Amino acid sequence: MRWLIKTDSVIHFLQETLQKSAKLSAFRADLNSEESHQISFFDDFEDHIFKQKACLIKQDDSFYWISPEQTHHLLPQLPKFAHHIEDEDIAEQLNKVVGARKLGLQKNILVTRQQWVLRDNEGKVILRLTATCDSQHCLLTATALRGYEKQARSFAKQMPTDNEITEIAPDYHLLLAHSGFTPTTYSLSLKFNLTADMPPEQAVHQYAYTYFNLARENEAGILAHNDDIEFLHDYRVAIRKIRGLISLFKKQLPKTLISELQQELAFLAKKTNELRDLDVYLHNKKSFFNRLDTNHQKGLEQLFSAFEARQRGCRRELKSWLSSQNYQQKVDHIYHLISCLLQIDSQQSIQPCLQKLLRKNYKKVLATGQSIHAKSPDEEVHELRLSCKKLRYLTEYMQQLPAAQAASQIQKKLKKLQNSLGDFNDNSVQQNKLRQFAENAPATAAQAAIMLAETYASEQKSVRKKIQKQFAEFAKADTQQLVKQLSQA
Amino acid sequence: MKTLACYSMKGGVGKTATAVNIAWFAARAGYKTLLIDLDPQGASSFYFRVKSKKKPWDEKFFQDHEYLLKHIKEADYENLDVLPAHFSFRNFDINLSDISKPEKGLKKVLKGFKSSYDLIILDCPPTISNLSEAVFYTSDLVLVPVIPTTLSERTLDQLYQYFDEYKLNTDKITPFFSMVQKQKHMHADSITRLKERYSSFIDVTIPFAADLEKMGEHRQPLGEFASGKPVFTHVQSLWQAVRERL
Repeated sequence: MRWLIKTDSVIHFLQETLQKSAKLSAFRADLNSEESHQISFFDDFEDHIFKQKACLIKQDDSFYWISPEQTHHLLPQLPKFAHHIEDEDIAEQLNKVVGARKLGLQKNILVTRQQWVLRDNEGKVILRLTATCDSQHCLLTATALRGYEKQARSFAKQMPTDNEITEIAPDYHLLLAHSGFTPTTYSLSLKFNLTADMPPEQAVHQYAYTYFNLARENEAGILAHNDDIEFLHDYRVAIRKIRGLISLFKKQLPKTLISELQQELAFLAKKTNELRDLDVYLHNKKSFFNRLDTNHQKGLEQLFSAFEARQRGCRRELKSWLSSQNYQQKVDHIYHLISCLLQIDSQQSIQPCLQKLLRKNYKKVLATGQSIHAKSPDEEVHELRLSCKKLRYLTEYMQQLPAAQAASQIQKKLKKLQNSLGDFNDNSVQQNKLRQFAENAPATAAQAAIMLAETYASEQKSVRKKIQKQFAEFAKADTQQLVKQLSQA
Repeated sequence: MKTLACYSMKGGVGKTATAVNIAWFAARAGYKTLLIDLDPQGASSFYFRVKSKKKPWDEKFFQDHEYLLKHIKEADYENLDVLPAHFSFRNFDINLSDISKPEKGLKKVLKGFKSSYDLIILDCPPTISNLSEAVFYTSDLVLVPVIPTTLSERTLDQLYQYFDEYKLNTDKITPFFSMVQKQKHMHADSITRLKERYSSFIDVTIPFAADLEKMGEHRQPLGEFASGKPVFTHVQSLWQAVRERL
């Protein structure tokens, strides 16, 4: 039982509550202990921890990871990243919440914790109360003693029902939430108010404009935080989403405009390719070292120090590009091209366009997938990956239309297959990069790179088998039914 | 799970004070402890301010474990629960005589607590009866407070004889001197005699102390209001000795 009350005096509040009932009027509240702590909250740029109703806090020089169920895990120090935590279980828990995001100070709150007991008219403790308070609010948590549940219920009845907290979240999270803290609204998953009869140009404009703004929101992060690789990741994803959507509409929209916009966006993306690859390599450094035996560790060290050096170089180049006049001109030009979409006088509506595209792209995925067999060249698997990607962008977009629940169901069905196709592609890319690197690297580093490439090659074979199985699952009649439902709605 | 009985067929020797204080120390030491007040007078329930439900138990105590669970109450102290006495407990002898192996009746009931508690403390009524036999059979240790007087000597002898007669394990009997007044010659002489006769005596004596009597006034274990007093240290030593023997 928990309540959030606005008070600066717990005793006053408790006394008033007890006086409300004749049954409880002879009861009394005793304060057992009281302590004050400065609580520092830590989170990432997207306030993921707060949004997941968990807490990463510092209290009296100790750091705690607190799950929504209030399980406290003591951490030896403040981790800069989830993967820096030595305890694998906790690292995994935090990783699920913040991923590769960097952790930093969010807010400080002075918190007082009081332990109270409620005694009956014979002085027997019937209820334990913990009051966790900041300057304005108190979170009262009551635990009935065994055998005294009835009396505890009588007490609970006198508490203001509107103030009862039923959500699962740590006390500190609730205090932070009521202290005036507002989490960022930043998210890669945006909501659009699409209507079925909206012209496609207007809808694409809305999507492209919003996602381009989102990409640009990450510029400051890329410039300021060398080690939070998610700013660059999100920048690229936002641009990719726009490119994905306009390529779907290439036949409905003016060819020259679309082609120019595609070129400009591709140019921005290309500028970030190498750094993103290096970011991923270095983020997964530990897993690379686990792939090879001790004989190759020295070679790997050399390999990764070369990657680190190149990463620093790429980062410098990207920062300089993002701060340049040329970049600003590109950005302005892209905004201009996006705005041109609004000047087109269209007679079409978005929904039938999307439905037609859905049928077409679903058929393409089926045809490409069905032609793949154990000995098909890698290029055909990549072809399937690209078709699936388009289909996903399409369903993501259709999800924004009213009554399009089937879109998210198709996405769910597509997810496993897409993940495996992504792994397959990553494997190819990694192999090529490592072999390329080996050509100009010193002997030990080159050997380690070749060995790593070999591990990827053998992994790729098993991924291919998985893809065939997952495609068969996706191609079943129920997906077809969902596509039919969505394309006829 | 261990079971400790605080027993004496003589009244007013400090059984309840011992049960209450040992339970408090055990809980403080982290043992999940359940004190069962078997004495219908309900003195240890009174000390812990715990009341039983009004409805009589009838024969359910030895037959319905779920029913027993519903009567357990949490004391004010962490790790400590109390099963309060009920006046109907005076019928325990009759209840036990109705079951096939009365001496095993209590053990069967307590077995159900194995996963919930580390230590069960039985505060026993001052009788020798079917219930006492079941207590002796069930307990790992029978803690016997002995006031060093002639009558108490006689009572302890009778207890040993009873154990022999019913072929119970006399090693379980763990006497200690209670309410000792060092200035009394009779107490000193009795202590010497009993120590010679029974090597099982715990080497801790609990002095006669007003603070032990004040437990009733405070309705609290000694540790809650007299932790700085010498008698507290004696009772603490008793707990340590009991802990070693359990």
